Amino acid sequence: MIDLSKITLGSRTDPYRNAAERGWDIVDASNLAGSVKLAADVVIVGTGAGGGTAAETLSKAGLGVIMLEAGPLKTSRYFDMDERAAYRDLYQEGSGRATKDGAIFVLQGCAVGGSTTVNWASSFRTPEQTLKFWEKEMGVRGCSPDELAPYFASMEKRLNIAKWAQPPNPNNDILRRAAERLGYSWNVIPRNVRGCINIGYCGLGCPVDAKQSMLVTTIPGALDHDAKLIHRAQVERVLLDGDRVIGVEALALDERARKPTGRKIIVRADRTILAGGAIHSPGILLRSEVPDPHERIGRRTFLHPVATSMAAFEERINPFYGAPQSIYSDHFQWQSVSGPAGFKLEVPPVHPAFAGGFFSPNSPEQLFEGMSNLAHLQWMIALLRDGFDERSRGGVVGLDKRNRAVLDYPLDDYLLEGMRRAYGVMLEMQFAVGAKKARPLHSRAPFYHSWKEAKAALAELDVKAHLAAVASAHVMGGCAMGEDETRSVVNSRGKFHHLDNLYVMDGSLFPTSIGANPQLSIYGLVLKLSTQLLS
Amino acid sequence: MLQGDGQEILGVDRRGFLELSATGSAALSTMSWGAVLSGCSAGRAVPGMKQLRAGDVELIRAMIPCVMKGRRAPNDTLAVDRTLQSFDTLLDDVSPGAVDQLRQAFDALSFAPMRWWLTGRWSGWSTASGEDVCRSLERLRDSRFEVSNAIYGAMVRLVSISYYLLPEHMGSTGYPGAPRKVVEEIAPLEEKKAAP
Repeated sequence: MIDLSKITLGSRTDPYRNAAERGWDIVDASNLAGSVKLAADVVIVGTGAGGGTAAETLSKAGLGVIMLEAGPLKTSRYFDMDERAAYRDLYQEGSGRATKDGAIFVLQGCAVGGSTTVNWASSFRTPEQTLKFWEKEMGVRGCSPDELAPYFASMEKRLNIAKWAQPPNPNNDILRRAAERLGYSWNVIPRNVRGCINIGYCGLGCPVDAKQSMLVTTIPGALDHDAKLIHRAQVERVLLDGDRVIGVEALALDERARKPTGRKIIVRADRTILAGGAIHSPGILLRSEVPDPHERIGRRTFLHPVATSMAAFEERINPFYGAPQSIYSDHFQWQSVSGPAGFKLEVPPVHPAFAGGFFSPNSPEQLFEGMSNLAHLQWMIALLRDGFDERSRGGVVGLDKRNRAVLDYPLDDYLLEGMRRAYGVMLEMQFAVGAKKARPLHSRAPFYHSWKEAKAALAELDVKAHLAAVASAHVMGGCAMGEDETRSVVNSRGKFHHLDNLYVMDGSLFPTSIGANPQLSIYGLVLKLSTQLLS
Repeated sequence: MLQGDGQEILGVDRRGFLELSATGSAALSTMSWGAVLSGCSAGRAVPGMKQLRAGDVELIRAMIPCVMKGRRAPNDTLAVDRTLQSFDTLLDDVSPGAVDQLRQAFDALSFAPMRWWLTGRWSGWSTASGEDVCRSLERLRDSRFEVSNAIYGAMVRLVSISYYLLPEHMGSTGYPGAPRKVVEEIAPLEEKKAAP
């Protein structure tokens, strides 16, 4: 039996361990004795997929770059694969982020490296269907598959993206075998890893710096080119002078990166780039009260809402060990571009607290019995492709009573129908390869003991918010790009329509969801936009 | 106050955590959540806790043995105490916005008229038997009202996460644990002073 608790890992791969020798300029805002005012050529808000890519591109070109990150700098020497610490320190709102009505749990990173520090390393180019839809239906220019191809290729090289070459772990292999059995297409997932030892703790911070997140690639690249990084610094608003943006104002946060200390950081810059991610980038614009004549800011925010099914097998699955995502199926993703929701099939890594949180038990007995059997449970997820059909308009980011950004995204009939269909697909797959029992993550669902039983029960199951466990690991949109300012927030070069010197370069740019795990879409697009900014 | 359809008191002035969706609700009253719940279960964390208030402690102590009923010893007081502390830490670890949302669920179960409407129980949780608590949870789960389902989901989820975050319980899942991490000592990161 595999028991990873018997192995020991060191911390010598951490690139920040000799930050001082490398001359890296890093400031922890929680230590500031007083407020500070700084100046730069470019200020970049956020150090995730977009912020990191932009920072490296611009600083390598010789521009003076300051990066502001609301989260803490946590590097691999800190990553001890402990769930409590990781959920508290590396995720937005300490893993408490949810949509406004509480029905969808939102997993996003909040630390240097952003969501790339805690994602599961799956790297897909933006599907051609998505790019064509943007061009044809959403008024986007310059993002055809051919135009983006060289940028994708460049980031694939930079981040060592390649199809996972090792055998899939059992959790993934069940997906593969089921697809084979039922004649569904499937493929191997490309991953941004180098020297991966296949233990599966990507979501708690890679302890060996194998995952090529922004934390260990572009941020060091920017720091090597004299960029300055200030972390635990939460940008409140952009600063305006007439119709141009002249920089940003940030609040220093405490050591836990939660409460403002009272110190401020003002950065004046020729160009301001927002890369705080979907939810925060629109939030900053809303707090700044920038012009928004067509009320587009925050609208059309998408989530790839996830429906989940669990199945018990005779053999050990160990869903907590091994590269978390290595097999996917797009068999149900593109049956039509718009129309009923398509979905991508994958599997998640499942550690105990994560399992306990998403289980959605029908009874206390089911919870304890299921959790005691975690090593034999296979989990499958369906990520719904939202935003392409007329009926799927996404959510809206607004500000709550504390002036913090919050996403209002109701689970409407369009999505619930997609979830019901996805449950059916996943349960049939799990039974087709020998599941003893299986159930959707839904508070009224017992374990079913055959596909026949499951199919009949699903027809009666009340699939709705708060009963079905729904999550999102991909937040997209809210600052849509496009040439038509009545339908977008920035133009096709990422420039804010209504003010000069303000850009958005992160996942909030997307006019629809991607239809694939979004990190490479952000890398490629932002490489293009930041390169264009230089000319 | 609670005439006929108890949903009348669940009026809200804007969509939020426990607001009912248009399809599920009867006529909403003009009373806001704030007015209904102000002054109830108010106050600071109790000594020894970072977030849990007195009413919360009473509620969660009652919930834990029910949610973890599948264990052979659900009333193991050490396990209940440890899970309660873990729950408190969990609340302290999430954002104030998330805590606000979750407290609405706690307050709804701590305020007698609301508790009665949601679960059929008027008396406080400290006098509830294990059976009483489990029956209340089942009623929340099976209700046709989203607000009830939301509260069921929140209580079960939080207790479950709190329980399984404890190292002594992780092993009960068959998870052997993570690799051991050894960190070599290094000099602290030298920080350049931010120029004024």
